[in-house]
Amino acid sequence: MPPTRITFPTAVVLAALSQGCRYGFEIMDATGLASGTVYPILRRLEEAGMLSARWERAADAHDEQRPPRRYYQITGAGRQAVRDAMARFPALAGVRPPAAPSPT
Amino acid sequence: MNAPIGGRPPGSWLIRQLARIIPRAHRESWRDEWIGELSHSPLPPWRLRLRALGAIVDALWLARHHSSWARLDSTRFGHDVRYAARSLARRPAFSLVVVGTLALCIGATSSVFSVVESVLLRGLDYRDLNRLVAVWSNNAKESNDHYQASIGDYFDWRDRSRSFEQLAGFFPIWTAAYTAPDVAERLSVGAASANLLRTLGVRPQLGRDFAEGEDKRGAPGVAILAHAMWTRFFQQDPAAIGKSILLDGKPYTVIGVMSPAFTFPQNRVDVIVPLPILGSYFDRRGVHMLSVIGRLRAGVTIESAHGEMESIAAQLRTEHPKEDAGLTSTVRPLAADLLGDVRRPILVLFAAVFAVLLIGCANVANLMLSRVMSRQQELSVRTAMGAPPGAIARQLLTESALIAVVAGVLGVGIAFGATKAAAAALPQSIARIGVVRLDARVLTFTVVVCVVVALICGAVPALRGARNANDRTLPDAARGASRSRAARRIHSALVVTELALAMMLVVSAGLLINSLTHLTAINPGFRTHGVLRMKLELPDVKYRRGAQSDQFFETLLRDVGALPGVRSAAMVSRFPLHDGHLTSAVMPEGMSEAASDLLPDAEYRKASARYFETMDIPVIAGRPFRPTDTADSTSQLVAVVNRTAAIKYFGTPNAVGKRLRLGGSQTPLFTVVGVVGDVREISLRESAPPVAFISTRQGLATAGSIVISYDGAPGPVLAGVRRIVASLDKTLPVYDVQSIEEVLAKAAAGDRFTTTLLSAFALLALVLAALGTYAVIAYGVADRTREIGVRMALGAQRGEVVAMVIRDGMGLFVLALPFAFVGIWWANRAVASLLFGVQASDLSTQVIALSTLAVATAVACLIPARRAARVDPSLAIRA
Repeated sequence: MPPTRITFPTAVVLAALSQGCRYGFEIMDATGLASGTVYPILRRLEEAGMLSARWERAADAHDEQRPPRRYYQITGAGRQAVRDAMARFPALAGVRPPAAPSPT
Repeated sequence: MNAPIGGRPPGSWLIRQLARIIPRAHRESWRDEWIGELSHSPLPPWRLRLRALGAIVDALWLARHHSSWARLDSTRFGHDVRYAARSLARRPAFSLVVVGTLALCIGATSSVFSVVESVLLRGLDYRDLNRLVAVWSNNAKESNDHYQASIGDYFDWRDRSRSFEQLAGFFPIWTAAYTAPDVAERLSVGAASANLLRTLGVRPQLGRDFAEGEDKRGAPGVAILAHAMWTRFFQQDPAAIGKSILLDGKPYTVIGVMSPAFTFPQNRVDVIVPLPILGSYFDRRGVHMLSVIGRLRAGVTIESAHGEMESIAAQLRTEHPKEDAGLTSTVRPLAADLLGDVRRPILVLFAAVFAVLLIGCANVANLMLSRVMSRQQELSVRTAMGAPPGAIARQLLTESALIAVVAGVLGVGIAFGATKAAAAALPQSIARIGVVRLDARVLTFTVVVCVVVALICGAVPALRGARNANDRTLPDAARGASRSRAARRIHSALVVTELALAMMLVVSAGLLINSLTHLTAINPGFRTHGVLRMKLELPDVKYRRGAQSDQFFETLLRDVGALPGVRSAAMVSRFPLHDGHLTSAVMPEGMSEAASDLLPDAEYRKASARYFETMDIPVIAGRPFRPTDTADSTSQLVAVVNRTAAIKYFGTPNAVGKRLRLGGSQTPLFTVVGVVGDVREISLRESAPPVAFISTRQGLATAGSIVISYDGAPGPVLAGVRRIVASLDKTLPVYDVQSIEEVLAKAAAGDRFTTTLLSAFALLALVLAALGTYAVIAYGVADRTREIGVRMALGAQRGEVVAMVIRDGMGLFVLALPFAFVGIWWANRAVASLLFGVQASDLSTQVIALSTLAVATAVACLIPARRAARVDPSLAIRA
């Protein structure tokens, strides 16, 4: 598996996930990054094993008459990467999950 | 508010479209994730759409990441391209020379191809072109097999023939005054039979075609506009259909508009109108003015159609023994007929530019080969580090491909400019056929040329580079030891090819330059400076022929003649080298009709009293016209003939007092009162035909060229003429204004165009070939530095070293000669028909051209030769 470069935006996305953000739009709201930045980073991090993804249970989505959503979760390797990144990029401490998470 | 539940969220259309480029294995999951997010979000629709735009980057990233191209990119292709770009950037001078050379060659090739494409390939955009034929009368007594049909003959052909689905007649060079509020212009009119468009297989873009019977005398006037006229006068308003326009004061209803792609055969026209606009010519069987095009019925061959037309011509000879005497008929493929005179120069130019492209490629291949040899060390290092020969070859080919792509892009830019310039400079004979422009076909051609160029320029260096890198050990390469004999042979072969092609081009250009010099040095027989001509026509509906028109022209010429700076003013019905043929049968007094049938027709002109004086045409015998030569019944009918006519019809240059009839035995006798000098009437190439002039007054002229000879500047004279015409009749347009220099330039425009372009190509070829020679000799000198050092250490003089190097270069020149002679023999056959006043085998031209190239080759050798002579033996031997 190719090593993943941890650029600042990548570290920001990892930090947001470690703060509890779970899906793309939530990460965008928390970080202010654009969708064209966030999603390719999520793909690379998933491929590198720093996060895992799962689909929302179909029954839950069906109850609310909407399509299921894809949730991401940071892995151990991801947490280690966040710690390393925190040392490199102190500004990451400012990344917070959104005050009022959007209803699921 | 939440996104619409169960419906399609904002941005979902974009997501579905983008999903197409996602690899199949990931497509569904990718789409569902985005749709899921968009469906959940409480954001307003516009923000969701904005966020959905991010999916473009996401999709492209995924597509690239998972595609086989991306894998290729990351492993090979991308690496090769980046490496090639860096390697070219490291040697900017080399890159600039090769890219510049190829861009110039590709640009020139593409722009000439754009002419080939628009004129020869796309020019005749008619349906089933191979079933279209041109039908001509064949006038044996004038050896003219492109003799037009009279309108009467045409209708008889149409009614009697069975070989054609349609048979159409047209006169492409009629003009009419178009008048509308604030508009008074002369338009170019295509007078046509009602079935012309059906024959050609085209339809108006808007409105309808002419209906059967609309070309009969007395039918209501109808007109179909060319797209350009519809744009210019009606701003492309569809409501133009049904409107009435005035042509020569008569109303015509607009019934259709042609598409912009349509070209009227033989001439670009503003408006198409049925044949009756030709007025009195409509009924005169003796006037041969119609070109005829037929669409063959399925299964009918040109030969059988020709047979049928011959038998109809025989019937007409019996029925109309005077007008149709000696006329047979010819049927030819239309394409060959319309393109006959332009095909040859265009193909010659295309062959020439292709030769230049080959020379450019050979040059670049040579430079790249030299560079590969000088990069031996680098390539050997790569081989030593494990690069297989294939990878080295691929790398070198990538470099040539990159060069070809950059050169191709620049070449398209050059072609774009050159095509615009060429379209403006094209002679009328070519320009009338098609609109020259860069289109998809030309660009496709350019892409193909680039691929071929990349292969030609890259293949040899790539193979050599790969082989040498493999064969050579690292220390060998590092030492820069003597390079392979094979490489030198390839260099020499490429330069010999360049030199042979360049010799071929330089000789052809020399012949054409020689021919153009002859052509422009011709004395046309009239004054070649300080003359203005312009057209003026009195509409029949407003001016009665005779007293009224005479009065108008008399006042006009008198007032114009009195303008400051004007020496004299006159009028002539058809101006030399401008208006083309209008002939009349001639019957000298006392000669039988049968005998006179064997005489050639005369060009028929009406001229006013001071025409010969104004044009400086010498009166050899007798007198010119006088103002007293009027149509008055007491005046004698008089004619002036040129020298050729005097000799052909009367056997003597002094034909004063002889009498002749113009147009048949029933016409009146004209007494020859003067003989004038011969003038190039039709073209600079054709010697003077017999010409018979009658006076404008006796010929009841109502239209023609006003001719003014003047001293000083033409501007005030022209302004004065316009003022005088406006004071006589405000609605009369003065048009088609030209100086005599413009008339002459236009007459030589086709030759000048071909000669200029071919000379430019030859010059480019010469420079490239000289550069190629220089590169090879310089490379040889660098390669043999040590040998030269040894020679000089052993006592060779500097002069001897210089001579040795020049001998090497001239050796290539001599080697190229036999190939060049074959090329020259072939090229001479191609250009022979374009030449005037010089034979294709002209020895002096060939000697001069080859000497020029020999000198250029010698000069190209001189710089490396001087460098060789400066070699320091002690340093060279130690190196």
